[in-house]
Amino acid sequence: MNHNLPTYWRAGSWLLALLLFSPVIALVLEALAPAGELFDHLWDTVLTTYIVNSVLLILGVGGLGAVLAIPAAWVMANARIPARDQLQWLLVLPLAMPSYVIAYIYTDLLEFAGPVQRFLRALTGWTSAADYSFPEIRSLGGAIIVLALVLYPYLYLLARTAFLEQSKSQTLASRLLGCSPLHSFFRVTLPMARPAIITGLALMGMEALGDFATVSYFSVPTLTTAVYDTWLGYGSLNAAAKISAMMLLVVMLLISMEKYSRRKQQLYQKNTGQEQRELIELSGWSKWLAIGWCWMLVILGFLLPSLVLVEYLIAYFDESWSSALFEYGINSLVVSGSAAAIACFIALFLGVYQRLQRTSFSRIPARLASTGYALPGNVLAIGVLIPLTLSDNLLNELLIHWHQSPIGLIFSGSAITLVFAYVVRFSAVAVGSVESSLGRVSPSLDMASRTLGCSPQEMVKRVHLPLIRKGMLAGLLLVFIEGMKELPATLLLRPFNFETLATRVFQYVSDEQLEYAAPAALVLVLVGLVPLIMLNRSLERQEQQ
Amino acid sequence: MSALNITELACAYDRSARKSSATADHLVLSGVNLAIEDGEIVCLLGRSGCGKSTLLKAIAGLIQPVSGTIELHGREVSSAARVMPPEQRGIGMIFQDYALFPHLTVFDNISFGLKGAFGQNKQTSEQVRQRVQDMLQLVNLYGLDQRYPHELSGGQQQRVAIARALANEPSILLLDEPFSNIDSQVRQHLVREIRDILKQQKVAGLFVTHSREEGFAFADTIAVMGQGRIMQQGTAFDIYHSPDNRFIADFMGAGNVLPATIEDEFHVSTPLGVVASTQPLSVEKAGTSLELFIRPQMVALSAVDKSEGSLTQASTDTFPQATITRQQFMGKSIRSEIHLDCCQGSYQLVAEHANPVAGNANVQLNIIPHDLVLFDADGLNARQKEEPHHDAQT
Amino acid sequence: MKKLLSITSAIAISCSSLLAQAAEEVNIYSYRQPFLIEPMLKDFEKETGVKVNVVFAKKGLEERIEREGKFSPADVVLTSDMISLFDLVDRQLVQPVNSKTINENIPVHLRDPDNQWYSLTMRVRNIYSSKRSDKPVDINYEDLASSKFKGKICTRSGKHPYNIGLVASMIAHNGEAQTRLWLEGVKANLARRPQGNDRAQVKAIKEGVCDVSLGNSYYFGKMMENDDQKAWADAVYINFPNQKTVGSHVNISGMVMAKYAPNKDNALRLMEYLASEEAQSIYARDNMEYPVNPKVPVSDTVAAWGEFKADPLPISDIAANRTKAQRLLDEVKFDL
Repeated sequence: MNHNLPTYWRAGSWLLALLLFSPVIALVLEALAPAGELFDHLWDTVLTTYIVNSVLLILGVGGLGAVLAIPAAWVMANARIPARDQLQWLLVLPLAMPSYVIAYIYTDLLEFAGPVQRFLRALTGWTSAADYSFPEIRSLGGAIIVLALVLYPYLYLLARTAFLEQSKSQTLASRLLGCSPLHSFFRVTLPMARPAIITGLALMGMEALGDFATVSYFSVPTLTTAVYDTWLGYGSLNAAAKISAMMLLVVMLLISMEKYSRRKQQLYQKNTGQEQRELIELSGWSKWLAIGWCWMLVILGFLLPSLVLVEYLIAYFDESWSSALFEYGINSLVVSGSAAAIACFIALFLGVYQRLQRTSFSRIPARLASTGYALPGNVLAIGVLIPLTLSDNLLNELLIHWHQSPIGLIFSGSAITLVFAYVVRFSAVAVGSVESSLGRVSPSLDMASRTLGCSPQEMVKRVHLPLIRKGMLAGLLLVFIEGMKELPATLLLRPFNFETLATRVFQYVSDEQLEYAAPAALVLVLVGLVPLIMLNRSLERQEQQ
Repeated sequence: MSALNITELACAYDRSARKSSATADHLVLSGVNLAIEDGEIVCLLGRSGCGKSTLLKAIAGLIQPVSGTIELHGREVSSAARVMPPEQRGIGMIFQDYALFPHLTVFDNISFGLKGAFGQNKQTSEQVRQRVQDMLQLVNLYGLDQRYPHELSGGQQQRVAIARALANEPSILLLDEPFSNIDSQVRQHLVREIRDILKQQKVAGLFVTHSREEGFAFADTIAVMGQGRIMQQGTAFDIYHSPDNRFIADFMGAGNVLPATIEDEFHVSTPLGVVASTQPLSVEKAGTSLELFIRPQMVALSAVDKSEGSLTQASTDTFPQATITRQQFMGKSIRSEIHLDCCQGSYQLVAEHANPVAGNANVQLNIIPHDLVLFDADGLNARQKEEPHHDAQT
Repeated sequence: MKKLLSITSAIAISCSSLLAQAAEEVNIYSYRQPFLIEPMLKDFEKETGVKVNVVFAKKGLEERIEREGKFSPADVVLTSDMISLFDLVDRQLVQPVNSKTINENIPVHLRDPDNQWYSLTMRVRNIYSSKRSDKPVDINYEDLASSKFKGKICTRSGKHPYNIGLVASMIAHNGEAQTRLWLEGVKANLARRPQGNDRAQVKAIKEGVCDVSLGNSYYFGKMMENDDQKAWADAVYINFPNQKTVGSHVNISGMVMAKYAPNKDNALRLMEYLASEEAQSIYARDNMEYPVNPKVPVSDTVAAWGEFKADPLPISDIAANRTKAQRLLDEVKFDL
């Protein structure tokens, strides 16, 4: 059924999409110019290592994340363990923990002078670093562990939902066909959840590839480092854009993988899910293993780092507390909040366009608008700067041409640039959740509401919006949390005298003095907690439906 | 030997009940006895929530009984003390939602149970292939082995499920509402076809449904379940025509109820007149007020020709004249709603008959003599001398 | 929807209030950490009544200025090393400043003959050595490649501007081929992959991970002042390398006036102030740096480290080798 949306809607969709896509265009155009021999030099020297590191990082974070998240997701979906209701949301909390904070804290704990090694030395009588070998936390392995600890909730959330949606009869069928519970998990449960798992892994992979703060703190050079190096060290935006384009390619690959698996998923979701879910009673060692596993994740990913932060806060309160924190907090809230709201609005706009305007092109705007997620923050910063400064300059030239006084850089010189950058980077999250919730709305509802006399706009307002409210809320909250933590783009694009909680924290992290930023870090984590718990609630309610 | 033998089975969902002092309130099943012989197909018929699914889960090994035992081919598989895991029971199961593995082709679905824990073959691949082809042939899906489940219709999917279960040579097949998601046009055919397959393979079956038509068509005997126990087991004909209690009678199909008292061994009197029975009635209940349950097809109607006023039936068997308020063509028969004003009351009856009643709405009504079904004040069949499957609950 | 609108309008208002610039102000793009320059800026604001606005970033500001073009709000750029200072000059993002005051306060070898850039402070690239062995009588940067330091050296990333500066000066003195050999030697002597900042290297010496490290001079003073870090500083000697040869490598922090500075007068006032004795003595006192203004003495802590011979090579000669240095560091895979 094709609904005739008003022209402003159709044109607006394409306009919004192109606006969000403009940084990518700018980068691609920049990358097309020949880079000269600098690129060859990089190829000959360090680029292969950077690529290998990036690939290992993605694989490592994905692999470890899967090992951590999938068992936890299964336990939460199927087993009855003590404090299950609390664990449901506790397991999501590491998402609120910025990776650079947790990286710093684990370095502090595990390095030579940290309590763990001190304890070991006291225990064994070793005295110097030469006496024993202890794995170096500031390494690729360390980066993988830290990133996996904060990124696993993406996979956990998706896998849990997938496990919950699985019909019990399939598991029972496999048991009756001779599978033990473990074999049944590997032959049936896991393959059936594969689309969701791949989606989660793709998300983790993109976040890991785009990570800048953790790898730079751990001195693990990846492609993100390479972009910084070539752009800012060698001053070659062109070579940097080329490397970014390479990364974009990798991410496109991840995204298409994700899309491909989601395509299959739709076909899979035929389960009635009407049966009542019965939780498995675990007993003996398996019960303790399940409890231990889930709590290990919560402790390592959230509780322990939070405790350390609280300890820092108490120890350094006088030096670190400042009323300016409120200002930073408000800056963070306003920028992330408005980015989240705008991203959701755009997602709705494009999602409805795609649903109601069933032409072969109508799916393009939503895809274009989602590309920004593929850009690591620092690459995005370049990309955002180009179109914004261009339009600023154009505007000012025009004003001068019309004999008006120029108004300065109203786009690139203000917080608008940050909001724009966040929207470009994270609107894919909102588009994704709006799309999937709209997908669950039966097309017959469209026909029903149109035949009952609704205009397309009225139908969106009276039928679609109420039905996808939860999906939109989920998108809103995720964009918000991501925005709160966002760092590389914020560092580079912020206006005068503008500090967010994240930049404040990172400044001290990069100075290796997180102690002094403990209040800011704690506020950052706490502000992320509320939406996360809300998010988990709304997801759980969706599951119950 | 019995393929399945359930003795005094009681099950509970509540964990506390399962662990210790189970009170009757917690029990989902209590005192269930059921035997299925080799090659026999039994239908478990009951409304939703009556405990059918619980019983299936208990047989499959997902629930530990509070008391009682389940035996498969003489081997005890479930008791309060021990539950054999599902994978060791050699049971096949067919589900309402088919439960095919969406990530596997038809071939891989059917060969699922023939392979080891991680997909390695237990038999040679040639044997597996042969077995799968045989099964596909059996369920009439030859050539579809490389399709994925979502590329098949509901009926086809359920056939794959049958093939998958039978490929494993189960000792008994449990069928959990297998036809409820199938189009009604296909359903009848599929029911017959699958019954034939089971009979051909000589597999015992326990078929769970809430649809009596399916049960009649599919099973050899029917076990009616209600309130967590099996209320009556027997052939469909017996249960239909001599239900043990009012609940079963209603569940097996609509009927007319009239107050009645036993006159003698072969007659009861009702407000509408005397009705004859072909079988002797229990005269010791004479004098007590009972309920007469009459199936609609036992109510005969004949048109009243007012001009002649002549009657074809013997006058002793006749009831007063009645009015048809509605006639409905049902396909195989015609269903008439009849209104009757006489004998200190007004009555609504339903009759089913082959031919439409011609002319005006006035009809002569009479009850064809048959094995009458009478219920006492407790709703129990008044003819039964022995106490039926009584339990604490009633 | 209403919420969305109100949020959007709130942003618009906050943005426009940012844009509504006060009459008297000066805009700084700073590579230097805010807390390092805050005391001077506060002082300047108090003295002149000119409001100071700061954007701080560790990297990428020159790119931003270039993109902003002629409407860029930047007046003054403060850099923390010579690399970014010369990048700005080479990209022609600066304008010459004509100020007698500044020229009187900053010696000629620490500023551009064309008045495009100025040094503000100096810092030595020291070699810290463990107190577990005796203080080396004489140590050169070149020695770090010698086999006697096998597995004993710690340093931050070679790509950090401080190290690029050092490598650039090595190229200026010893030539590219020699420097490559040197870098390979140093790399082979590293106790661990380059990581952390300069303080972290001193800490590593204290922990026994290594025996010598490279680090800027002011960190030593800063660590002395910090309760937690004093123990680290106490574990090391600060050494001024190459005293018998070309002198120690000195890096600078600096300032330039942006090419399209909209508040040129205030920018000039700020720059003059930063070169003044007042500001310079804050640099010396608070940041433990060597002031460029000859009239300002170093702090007592720094004075205690003694006199040293600085590399007299003109800064521009060293900075000219910065890209070569970066390439060499890539080629020997110093950080990998």
